[in-house]
Amino acid sequence: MFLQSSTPIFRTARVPGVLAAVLFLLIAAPARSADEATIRLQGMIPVKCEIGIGADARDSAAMQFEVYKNQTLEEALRLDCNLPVAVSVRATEGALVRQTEDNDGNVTRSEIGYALSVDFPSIGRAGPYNGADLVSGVSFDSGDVVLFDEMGKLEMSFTAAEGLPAGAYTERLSFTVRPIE
Amino acid sequence: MRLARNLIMSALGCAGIAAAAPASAQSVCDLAIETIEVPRLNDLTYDIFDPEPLTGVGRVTIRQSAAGPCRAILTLSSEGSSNQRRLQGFGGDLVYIIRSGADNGEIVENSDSVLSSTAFRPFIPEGTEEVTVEYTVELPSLQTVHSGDYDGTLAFTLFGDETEIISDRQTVAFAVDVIEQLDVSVSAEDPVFSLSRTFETVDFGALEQDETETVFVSVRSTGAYKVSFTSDNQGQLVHERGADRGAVDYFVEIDGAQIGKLTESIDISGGNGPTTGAGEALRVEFRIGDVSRKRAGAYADNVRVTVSPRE
Repeated sequence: MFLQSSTPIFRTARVPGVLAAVLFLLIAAPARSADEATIRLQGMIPVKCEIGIGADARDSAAMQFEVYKNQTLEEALRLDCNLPVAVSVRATEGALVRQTEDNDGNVTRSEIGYALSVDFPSIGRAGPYNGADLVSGVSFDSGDVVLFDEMGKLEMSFTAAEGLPAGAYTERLSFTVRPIE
Repeated sequence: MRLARNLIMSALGCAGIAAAAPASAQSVCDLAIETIEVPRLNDLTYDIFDPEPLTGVGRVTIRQSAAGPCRAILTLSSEGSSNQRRLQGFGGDLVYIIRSGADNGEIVENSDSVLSSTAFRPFIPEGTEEVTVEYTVELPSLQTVHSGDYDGTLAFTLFGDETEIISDRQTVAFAVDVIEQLDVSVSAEDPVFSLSRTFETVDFGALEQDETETVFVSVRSTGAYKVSFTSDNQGQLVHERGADRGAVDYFVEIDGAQIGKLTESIDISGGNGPTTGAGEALRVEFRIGDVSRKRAGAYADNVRVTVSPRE
């Protein structure tokens, strides 16, 4: 048969179609047009803290010198720490000491007093500290300053008394560094 | 995050085409298409990247005015040379498939091809005035299509008495609106897009100069897009206690092209789309800069990767 213009096609389909289109506009429009993701990059730098003596930054060094009255000596110190640092200095004797023993077993102790200071350009001078105070240890820190591979100097001044016997006088100084952050 | 995706199929209208010849005088068939119900796909939210296809059931009611019995043939076909509209400037067809229901009697022809017709052979017993034939329209998933409107026309042709004489013919226009979709995912291991991967942590461990790590930025889109990279800290990993404690530069290379430091947001022109469901991946390499004289501690930065439509 021929299709008549009054044929009710879409009798059931037309209304739901329109209704759904309206709902879509209310719920989904406007369409999202962007999206985002995040890449977090992370890593760490481990703590490194070293102190060395002498221009070549040795872990230990023997300073040998001849002492004259009111003499001042310098030795290089290298500090390389990637955090602010505390430096402690401890002396074994508190003075340069010479001990002798005669044939009767009597021990004679002779001392040369000294004062010590440490100077790094970025934090300035620490000290002077009397040798006697160093036996119990002294310490100073760099505040918030980080000393990356910085050269400084150790200064020692001596107060040798008159009439000291000639000979070798020794002292042992220990420098310890630790990060303070 | 994922975009809302809707696919709207709605009856836009109808056009009846009278192209019939009168049945023979001996015929017991006097048939007409009474109603056509378009599949209710239009009230569903449809993600074309969803692995599951979207299907909807439609119905055609046939009226038999003669006493019967009558064996009819109902053919559904796409009208015209194509039943999809080409989007301006891009092209691409949104494929749909027509299938007959199991209860429609003998299936004369059933095809997955969009352009082929599908025929049903409903039997109308004596004295029956109406029968309803169900059909299914399926929109296969993961089609590589642009967003936009797609429309087509279904032609319903009714034959009676197994003759080739057309009893009735009506057409139904329907439309599908593929909403714009644009998603991005990031992964250090897999270049295949995944909706769940919106955050990736790349841990360099102990930072060393020139150390590199790679991240895949995958985009799934229904259109042309661009990808923007923005650093929270202008291309630097910043010390955990603040930028005043120090920062480490890093440099970016994308698909082999040197980008340099992300001091400001950069835009990379992505594909013209559409992509497959697996998306398209950019290979992003991060290289650590100088770490000497840097304070100890943890360093980090966030790189925001944003995808947006490209005009």
